[in-house]
Amino acid sequence: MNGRGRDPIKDWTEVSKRAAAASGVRPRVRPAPGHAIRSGGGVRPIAGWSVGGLVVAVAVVIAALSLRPSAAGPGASDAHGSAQSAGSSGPVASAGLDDPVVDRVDDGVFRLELTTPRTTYTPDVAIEPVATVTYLGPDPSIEVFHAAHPIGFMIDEVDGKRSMGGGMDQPCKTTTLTRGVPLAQPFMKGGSPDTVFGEPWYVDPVLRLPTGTWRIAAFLDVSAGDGGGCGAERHRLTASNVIDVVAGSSSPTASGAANPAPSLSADATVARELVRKYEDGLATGHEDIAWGFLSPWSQRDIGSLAAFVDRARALAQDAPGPVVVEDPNRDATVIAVALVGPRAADLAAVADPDRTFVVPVRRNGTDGTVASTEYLVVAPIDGEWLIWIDPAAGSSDASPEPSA
Amino acid sequence: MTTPNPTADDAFQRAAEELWMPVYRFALALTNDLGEADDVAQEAFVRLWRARATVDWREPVVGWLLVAARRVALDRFRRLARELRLRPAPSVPIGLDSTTIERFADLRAELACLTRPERAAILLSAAEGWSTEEIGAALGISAGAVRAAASRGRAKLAEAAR
Repeated sequence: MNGRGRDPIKDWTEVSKRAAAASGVRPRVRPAPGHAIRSGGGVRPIAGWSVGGLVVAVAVVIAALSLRPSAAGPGASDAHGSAQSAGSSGPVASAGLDDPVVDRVDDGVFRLELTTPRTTYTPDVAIEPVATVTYLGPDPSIEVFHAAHPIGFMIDEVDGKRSMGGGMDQPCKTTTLTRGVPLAQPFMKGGSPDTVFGEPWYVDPVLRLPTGTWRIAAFLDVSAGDGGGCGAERHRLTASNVIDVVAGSSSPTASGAANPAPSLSADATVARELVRKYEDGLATGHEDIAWGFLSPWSQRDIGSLAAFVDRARALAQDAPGPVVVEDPNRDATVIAVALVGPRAADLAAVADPDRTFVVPVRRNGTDGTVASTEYLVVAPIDGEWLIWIDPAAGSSDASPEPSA
Repeated sequence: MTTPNPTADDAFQRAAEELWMPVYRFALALTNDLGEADDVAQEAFVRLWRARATVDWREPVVGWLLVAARRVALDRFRRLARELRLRPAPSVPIGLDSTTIERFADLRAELACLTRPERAAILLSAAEGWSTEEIGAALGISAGAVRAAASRGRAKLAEAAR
């Protein structure tokens, strides 16, 4: 109950019922005056409509979405993700032309997520999909058994015959997954050379594809649980992204916008995607997810999830404008700025120095000026990519970014 | 070109009639905004429509819709938050009476102290009777995290009511 004697939860239950009753599934196209398209209330979205009418209406919506992806609002553009899994099948993820394509599936024990940085490419541009597997089960960690890698990749042409069949060596290897901590696996080629994808294509570690519409699939195939070894309970999940490769050179992109980002290495892509997910977690109130991306040192340094939430909110309050995740870099001057003090000591002790990246995150004010820059450090520990936060950020002694 | 599929079309219409309320409520818990919730729920159903040919209609599709709604909400919020970090002027569904709108305006402010998981954990349990496991599945987090979120949220509401 609140101070005025109301129970906000009961109140919300009633208000949300009324609001739901006043709305319903409908076409987004606004009717001409005098042409009511909605019922006055209830769950019956389009009362009196025949199925055929609904088909036409939704087809109109789809046509509108297809023609004007931006007009339908964020997340409404062509769906390019797809998912199939043994336990659950998630719906497609949204993607604009230059947005990442994301697909996530889980079977209750493991979650597989595949991210391709963009929806549309040209044949000369590197495509850098990254897949992650996260253990969701009850134990703090789990040992999984798999072939050469827990995650493999396949590519096939949508409405075509060209494909990269995947496949990898079949030793029974083990990997330990920590609950809630994603293990990233950048794309790698696998399969047998053929007339379409010959040996030179397989030898080149960078993925580029000819024009066409392509489905990139990541498949998780691991065994875990009782029995041990590769004969234990098997978990198989597949997540896929559909991308378009269009004729032309790398810029401008299909949307007409220049593509300022040079191709990143696979490690740099993982580092950038991890930081983006971290920032997404902060921006969307999922601080607990962002917390899971932090290195043990960072978690110890902050102290608790509650303190982390406070820190995140302080950062957002100080810099309420857009957050820009810059490309990871290993430039000596940036490293020198970022790798000092106890954070540097911890990184030196536990992380692979050759795979350590500094990812500047610029936090802006509402007027667009840079309010502060946090230098996150990203590196793998035993193959798990984690973030080392900037201890000064979010504290009272954090120095604001000098204006340009 | 859309080819009508009577079976899938019927199933979709049933889903639209039966599942609008829980999907809308879930979207409202996530967005804390009447207009946003409407858009998010609409988009979830549009996605279901687009996928109707591949959906296994023998299984309940509510989970499918909730995951879709969550993704739409997060996409929308992420972009809005990133671009603006300021909430747009609240919009409301057409046809909603002014008393309800005013009541929600008060509630919206009251619930703004909660995070999305906290709102979903508390409100959907009460309004829809969902279990922590069901809410966790919709949010993409564990049941334990839902319980923790509910606990934190209730504490915040209690604190705010003092």
